[in-house]
Amino acid sequence: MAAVRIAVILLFGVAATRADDSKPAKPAKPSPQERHPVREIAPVVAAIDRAIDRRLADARVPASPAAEDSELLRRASLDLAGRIPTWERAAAFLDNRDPDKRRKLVEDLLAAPEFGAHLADLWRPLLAPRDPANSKPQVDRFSPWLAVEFNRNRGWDKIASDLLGFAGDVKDRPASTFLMTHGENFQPKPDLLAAAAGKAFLGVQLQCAECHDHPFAPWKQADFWGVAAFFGKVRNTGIKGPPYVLTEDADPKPLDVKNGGSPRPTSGPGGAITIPGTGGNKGAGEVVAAKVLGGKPLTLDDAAPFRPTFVEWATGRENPYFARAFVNRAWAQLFGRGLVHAVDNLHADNPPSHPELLDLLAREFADSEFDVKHLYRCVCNSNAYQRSSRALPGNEKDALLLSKMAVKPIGPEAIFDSIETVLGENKNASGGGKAVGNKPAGTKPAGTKPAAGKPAAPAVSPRDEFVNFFRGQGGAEPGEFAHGIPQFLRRMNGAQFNAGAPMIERLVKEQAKADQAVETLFLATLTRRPTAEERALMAKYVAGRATPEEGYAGVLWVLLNTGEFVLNR
Amino acid sequence: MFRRSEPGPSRRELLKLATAGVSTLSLSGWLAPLAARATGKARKACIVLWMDGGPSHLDTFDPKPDARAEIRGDLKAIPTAIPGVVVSEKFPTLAGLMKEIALIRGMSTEEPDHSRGRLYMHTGYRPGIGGVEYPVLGSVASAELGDADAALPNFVVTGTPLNKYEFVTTPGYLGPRHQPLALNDPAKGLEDLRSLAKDFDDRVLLLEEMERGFARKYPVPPVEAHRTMASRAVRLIRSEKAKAFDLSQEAAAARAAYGDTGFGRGCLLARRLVEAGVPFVEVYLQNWDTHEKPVAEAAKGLMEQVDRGMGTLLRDLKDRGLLESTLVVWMGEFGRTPQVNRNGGRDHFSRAWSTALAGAGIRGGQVVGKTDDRGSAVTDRPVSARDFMATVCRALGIDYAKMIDTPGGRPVKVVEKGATPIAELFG
Repeated sequence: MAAVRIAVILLFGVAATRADDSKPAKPAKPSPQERHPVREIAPVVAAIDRAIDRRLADARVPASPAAEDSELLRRASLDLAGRIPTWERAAAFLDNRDPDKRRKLVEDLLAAPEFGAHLADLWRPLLAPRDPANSKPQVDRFSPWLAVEFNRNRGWDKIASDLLGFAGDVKDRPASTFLMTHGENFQPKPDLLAAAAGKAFLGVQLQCAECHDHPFAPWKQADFWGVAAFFGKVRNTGIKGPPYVLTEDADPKPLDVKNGGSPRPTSGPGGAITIPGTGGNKGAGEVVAAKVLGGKPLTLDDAAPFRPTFVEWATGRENPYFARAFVNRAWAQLFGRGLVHAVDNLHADNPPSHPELLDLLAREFADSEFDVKHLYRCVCNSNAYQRSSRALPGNEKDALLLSKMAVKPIGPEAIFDSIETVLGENKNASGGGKAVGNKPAGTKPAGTKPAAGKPAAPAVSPRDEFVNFFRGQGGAEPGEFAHGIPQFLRRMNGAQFNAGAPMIERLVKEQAKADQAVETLFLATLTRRPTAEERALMAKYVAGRATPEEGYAGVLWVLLNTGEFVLNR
Repeated sequence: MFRRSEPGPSRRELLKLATAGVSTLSLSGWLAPLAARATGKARKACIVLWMDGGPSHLDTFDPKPDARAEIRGDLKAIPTAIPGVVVSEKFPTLAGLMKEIALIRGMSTEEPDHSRGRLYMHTGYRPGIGGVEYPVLGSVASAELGDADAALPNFVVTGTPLNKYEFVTTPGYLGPRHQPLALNDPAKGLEDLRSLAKDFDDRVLLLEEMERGFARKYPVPPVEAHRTMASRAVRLIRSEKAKAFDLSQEAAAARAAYGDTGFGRGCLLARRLVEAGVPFVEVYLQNWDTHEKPVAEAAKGLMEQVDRGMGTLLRDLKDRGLLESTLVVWMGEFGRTPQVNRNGGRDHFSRAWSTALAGAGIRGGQVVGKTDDRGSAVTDRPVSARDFMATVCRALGIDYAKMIDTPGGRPVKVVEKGATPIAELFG
């Protein structure tokens, strides 16, 4: 990953050398791309805008104009690469007169390896969330695997099939993570898997129906346990320790559940599952047949694995949820709000804001054989995506009709990576957290193997530590800016944000004019040039310092602490 | 969304005001102190002394001096200020303070696993049910009792959790704003509280200018939220109140009274923070997982720390008039098996165990519930996790039955339905 990052920076035209990385950076090799049906972009882009513009016209809400270059560059970089561009890249883009530069920007970002890494960051909490009772990060092989899958543009149906249908020894097989995470004591649990599969792949909140039927909830207990039934047989044979093998073969000796562990619901003949009595389940003891959502109860073949039937349904092109769920999440990521809100509540009683648009994109996604890059390419080239986030008279209050882009909080991973982009040449850049311990600072991402011969105790990488600290646990409302006092204290006073920057050293060494230096710092942090007032303000401040270095450090501190730095506009 | 019982707008209400164009910042800028908030009554606060690993009820608050040796253990029982009630010989100070304390001897819960039990006793909900992440008690208190504008955080946790675990801090559906500020070492004070910059004030002036300009261009909730929080952080950095985190401000004799231990310092920090207006502080004391003899022996030292730290805390709060409004909770995730095992320790046990409550109007000097002569079953007045949680909420003036809309849109109760507070503790 470290090599990948450097490669990306090189691609962006910056010769970055990392003190902590002795290996020479290799030139980026584009990963071989999965083949998808060739689909035209332009008609889809036009259809997206037609659907949105029609609604705006009906409601007589004006649309904000196209975003400025700086707005769009920062937005697209954060949305597709998970980090802001370097100041050189920003300056080059702003000064570029190519009328086609926005389209090329999207292409470049989709081709860069950071696209997959960023999508992996976004999907990881859904597919393999951390255990709230034990938040010590483990060695993470899953995120790098997922990044590679997204980068080679593997079909989302294939990725989902791998995760849901995994069988075999889990060792060095990151695709097993989904099944292993949604379990207890190293045993996959059908109820946890049903809830997770519903949420991540189908965009539905099945878990609401785990314990009992709710009068107003769309799903009933039979829906929940009907899905759980497909996971009723998968188990880990490694009771006493590795090898951990996931299988649906018959269990010769049923699990001995002792002190602490809660019993797994088990499946009976034909795949029917018995609702367990733990946790106050209303239907405890009831036997529920396997059933896909909206389907009929099934009798599964006891001699064969149960999951393939579910996987085939769940990831099929005709599935009413699968394509929509992904499209809706991607939309929510890019626009700050899903076409269906909340993103995991696809249901007839909760209609989308733009039904025909969701239909259109879901159909396109399925017809392209779940081509993720194609979907992002279509959406990011639309006028809707490229609109300014500044309001016009008449669309200030609009949050539904897409008359302007939302101002979105930047996720902790992207904040970390963006800081690294700003302070990147500094070996101290990522070593800020005091809780990190004595591990060498640097950009070792999660998933880096411990040095050979060393005990395998996973160290918390600076990035993981930062992400844990800035994300915390639990959910904020989507779009809510959720940093608390500790996060602000860290940003204002933490060593990481005050370690100085090689950029400043260079500006001083090159005897840059103060105005030029301030402009560089603005480009590096906010991806724009300062306004006349900002130039005057900063110049006055810099002039009041003992040395230019002190002045630039102060300006950089201010810029890193602005809301503009941690928000995507 | 989560209405507070205190007067004054909640954070989300403030954000709504912000959306409507009402600035939440005083016009005179970040340097001006906020006007004192008008509150009708003394604000409630809560200090949880969390015994991580699960202390033995028989060796602490529910001794069985008449049982045979394998059950009784090797600690004697001593009389307390309540006639007829005995506690462990390791609790002489607490025995003397028993008029302030209510013992719950009928705790009966269903999670004898550390990980699940810790979450259960922090949230009142069994983990992994219904797919909702529930907030820990401290997050609930932060949302319900906290002051969104206070310079100090509303939820602080300190001490050391059990080996591989971390503090249990999930704010669940309440969101990261109600996560605690965690201090592993109370002696070190608050991290990153001091600016590394020589010219902090000048920088803040620039920052304020940038924030103002950005908010003018983008008058939307996340921008306002950032601006509000940044100003709060600046106020905390400059605030005299932040001294509450600095234990060196305390006289040597006072520090000594709490004991020169991490737990003692945690209790002292808790008192200082509550005094400064922090509504919820949790102090962890680890290593109660006494499966084997050596750990069980070491736990006797923990009991001495508890006696001294908790004892001084209760007296100190009372002397300062804070005990009336401050609930002190002593608890772990479960108790231990009545029978001493062959390794000379006790194993996990959640069917019958004890907790202790004091302050905030709790009627002390009483024992609620009873276990059998072996401490293996509750024979009178069993108290479930949710009853316990409802009791704590009631003492703090939090409406435990209130419905809250989670971000996913699903309404849940603060405490799972079916909960009844322990009536004998009130009035």
